[in-house]
Amino acid sequence: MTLKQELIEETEGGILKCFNCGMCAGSCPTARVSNHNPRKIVRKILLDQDVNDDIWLCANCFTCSARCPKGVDIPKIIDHLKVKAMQSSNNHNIIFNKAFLRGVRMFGRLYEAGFLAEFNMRDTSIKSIKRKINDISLIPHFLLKGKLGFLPRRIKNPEEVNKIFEKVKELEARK
Amino acid sequence: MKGLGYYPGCSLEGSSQEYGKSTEKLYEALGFTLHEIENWVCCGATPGHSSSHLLSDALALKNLSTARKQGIERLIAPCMACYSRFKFAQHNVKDKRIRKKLEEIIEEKYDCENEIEVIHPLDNLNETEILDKIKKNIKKVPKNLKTVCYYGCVFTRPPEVMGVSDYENPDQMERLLNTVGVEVMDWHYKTKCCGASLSISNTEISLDLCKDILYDAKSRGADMIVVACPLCQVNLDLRQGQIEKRHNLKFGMPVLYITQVIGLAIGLSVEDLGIDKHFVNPLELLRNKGII
Repeated sequence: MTLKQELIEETEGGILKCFNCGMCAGSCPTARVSNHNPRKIVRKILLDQDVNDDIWLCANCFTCSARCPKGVDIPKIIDHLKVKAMQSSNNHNIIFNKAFLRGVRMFGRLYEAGFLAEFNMRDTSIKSIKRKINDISLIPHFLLKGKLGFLPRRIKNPEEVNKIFEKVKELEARK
Repeated sequence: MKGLGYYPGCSLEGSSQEYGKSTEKLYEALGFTLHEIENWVCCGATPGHSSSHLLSDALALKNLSTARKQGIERLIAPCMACYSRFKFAQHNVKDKRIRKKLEEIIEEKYDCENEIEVIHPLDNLNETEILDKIKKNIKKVPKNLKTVCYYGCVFTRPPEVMGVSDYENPDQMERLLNTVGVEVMDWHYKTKCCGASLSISNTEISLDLCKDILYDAKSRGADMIVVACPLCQVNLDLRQGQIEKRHNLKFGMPVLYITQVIGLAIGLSVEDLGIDKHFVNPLELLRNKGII
């Protein structure tokens, strides 16, 4: 199945209603400050072109679909691309998501300190250095205000959450 | 109100504990008991639905199912990310094909005819009965405190999932603040995105989006921004120094939760409401305006 066919199925034909008006790109907050452009992404899919855009700059704000005159579910389209990327490639956004979910899977709840440590250790790109330096300077503030827990908060039955993760994986492998 | 449930979510236990604390204290002071969902699990937030919609929905249903067993009829979810994930799951589970899969994942039948009402404090506090209680309990009215209300993204979007019609211009916070004598100003950024989901991974984008929000608030003469989302709050407050440095601007703009402002008005203390936990210190402003 081509990406276009997958997304026709995923949006129940909705993606085909796009008439390329640009309301989504005009409304997209990150389009203003980066080269992320939802209109172009949808267009490339419909023309069967490679989507080499940085889909990870979608901020999940749902403005594009709320304002789309044809009701195209653009966030769902971008999520579909993200899910596929999570399974097949690697970048700092994927490392971020995986580090977040690892704690949830192990303890049942987000382990903030562990997640941040893992993300910063695994993201070894040169670009990340500036971010890390900036963020390290925030740590004393967090500690001073008592807002960062070092130990994870574990629920009574975290194995049930792990089971949910496994079941999801099993079901998704089936299709 | 029988069976009023409470889902704090991970942020309210950690980096945004003052939102959790102020919500709990406010409800307590108004005479309501919040029943926390026992052993609640994380909603997965953005990493959840970016990995798998089934995972995201299943985590929400797991919590809703536990809540139902506890006899909870209405569920308060103050974190916008969690609130949004509950609403998405309840929307998606109505689809028979999706429901079948989700039931297999959580290993139980899910009754979507008698859903728990997931409600945000912004809507809940605006109910006549509660609003009357707030009015009756007002202890301090600030002098000339000017605010702008920032709702962020997912309280109103996607409108068909969140069940709202006026998704560009909500007014729940305005109504609450007017009730307790706080001045509210109109502005452009009520429901514009602050980029919180990119704040850690793609910080610069988020800093630029926050700059516009802070700039508009400041140029309209607001003394503070009032919010109802832990992600927006952290982004605008914790990163304000970085935003000022990057754009060579000075804001000094406190960012308070609606529960903290209402709490102060009904006489709760700075410590009870966690107002001492913010990075941009609001205490001097609040003293000058006579509310603490």
